[in-house]
Amino acid sequence: MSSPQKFQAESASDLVLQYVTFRLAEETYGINVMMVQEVLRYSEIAPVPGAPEYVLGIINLRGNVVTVIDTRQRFGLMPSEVSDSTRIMIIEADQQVVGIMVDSVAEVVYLKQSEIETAPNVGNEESAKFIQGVCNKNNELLILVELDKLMSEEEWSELAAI
Amino acid sequence: MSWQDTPQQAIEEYLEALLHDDMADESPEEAPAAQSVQKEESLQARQLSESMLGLQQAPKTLAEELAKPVQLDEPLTQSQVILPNLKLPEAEPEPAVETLADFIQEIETSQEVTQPVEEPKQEEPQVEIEPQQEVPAATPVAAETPAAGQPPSPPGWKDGRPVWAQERFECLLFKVKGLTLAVPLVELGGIIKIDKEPTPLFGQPSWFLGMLRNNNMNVSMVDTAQWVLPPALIEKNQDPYQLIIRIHNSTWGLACNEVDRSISLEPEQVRWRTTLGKRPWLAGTVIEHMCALIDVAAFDRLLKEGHGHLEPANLTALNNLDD
Repeated sequence: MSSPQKFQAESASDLVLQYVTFRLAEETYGINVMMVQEVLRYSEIAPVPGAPEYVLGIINLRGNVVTVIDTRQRFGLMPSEVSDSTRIMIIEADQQVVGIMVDSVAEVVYLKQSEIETAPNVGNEESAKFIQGVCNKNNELLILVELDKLMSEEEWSELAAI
Repeated sequence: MSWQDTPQQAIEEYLEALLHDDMADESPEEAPAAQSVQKEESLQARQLSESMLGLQQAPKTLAEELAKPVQLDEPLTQSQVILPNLKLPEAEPEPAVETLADFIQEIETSQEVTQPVEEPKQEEPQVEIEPQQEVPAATPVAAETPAAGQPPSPPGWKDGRPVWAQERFECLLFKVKGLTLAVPLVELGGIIKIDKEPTPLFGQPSWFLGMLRNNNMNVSMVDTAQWVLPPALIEKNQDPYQLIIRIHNSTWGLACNEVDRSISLEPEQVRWRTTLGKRPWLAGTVIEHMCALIDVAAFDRLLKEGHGHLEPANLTALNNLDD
């Protein structure tokens, strides 16, 4: 294969992906932009009695009920107070629309597939499965999260029932 | 011996314990998986030894050949191998026994040795092994016996030591919470100064400190102390890590407090580990420098192959030093 052809082949295989980045506990995370429907300012979340621990409650989004997940709890991070920068990201995962509460939403970044590195797989915790990979962006390590794995099939069903 | 000593004394005592622990590694607190493997191996060794007892009057060279598998698991099976009342395993249904019988038969035929099998004192053999000409002459067992008899060398090891230690080699000494460790220079990927907090990843074990970007590489930082020291000693030394010893051709890095100096070692100066034991990362110990020599490649494999989610070190025996 000649050099130009090789270059074209490499470019074609090296997809450029868009990620929305958000902050949680001083670290930056990224989720595929295609999964994000919108980002909301924090609004009051109505608790749901008997809901799983990782469910903060529900919100009314233009007449639709959306369940909000406690992302910190899900990631095994310490809880924190709600602030002005707290946001609820409305995402679609596993054919369900849910909200995930994050410390803040930063930006949309473009990442090449080749830039994404595999994260070490040494975690015993369930939450370790959410990590899709890591990527260095703007001199900072971005942790890419796979939201489909945020919950098990049972948990998604549980959420749907709320 | 007590952890109430000064930290330096405690470290020295620990290193001493590490040396002894490596020697007596086949202790009861071995990991369950390792125990089962050992039991299996010792069972095979016992079966083999039982069946071969009848051949004890065979020519010496033959006896030596047969003795190899018995040494499969010396520390555990020594008492089991020399059994006072041995019985010949029932030969018919078990394929392993059949092949063993074939093996014995082949030896008997080729060496023209006819020996009692069940009770050595009797002159007539109580069990006759029928010639089974349809079965190939026990070549599988004969071929596998030497390999099964001797524990396979770990990857990267040759003649009881790592390949890089076949001749004189250079090592870098570094300290982790007071314990001196040595890493061979050939396995050293680099030394990185920790100039910012590593990025932690959620859901990871506590010994995984996070990732640090260096030289266009994300280095996964390992809390070395959690692997090489008992908790009691870690608590005594809360000094923050300053440097990372990056493993050659790997993204893993071992956090350390300080880099000491490089030394040159003859292979004979190292007491090499004899078994993988509970610390595959330990290549051996150097008493002269009071340090533990790391088998870096093994450490790297341990993490890469996903064993890293296990408890870093089974240091139960060492923690009992204060008893």
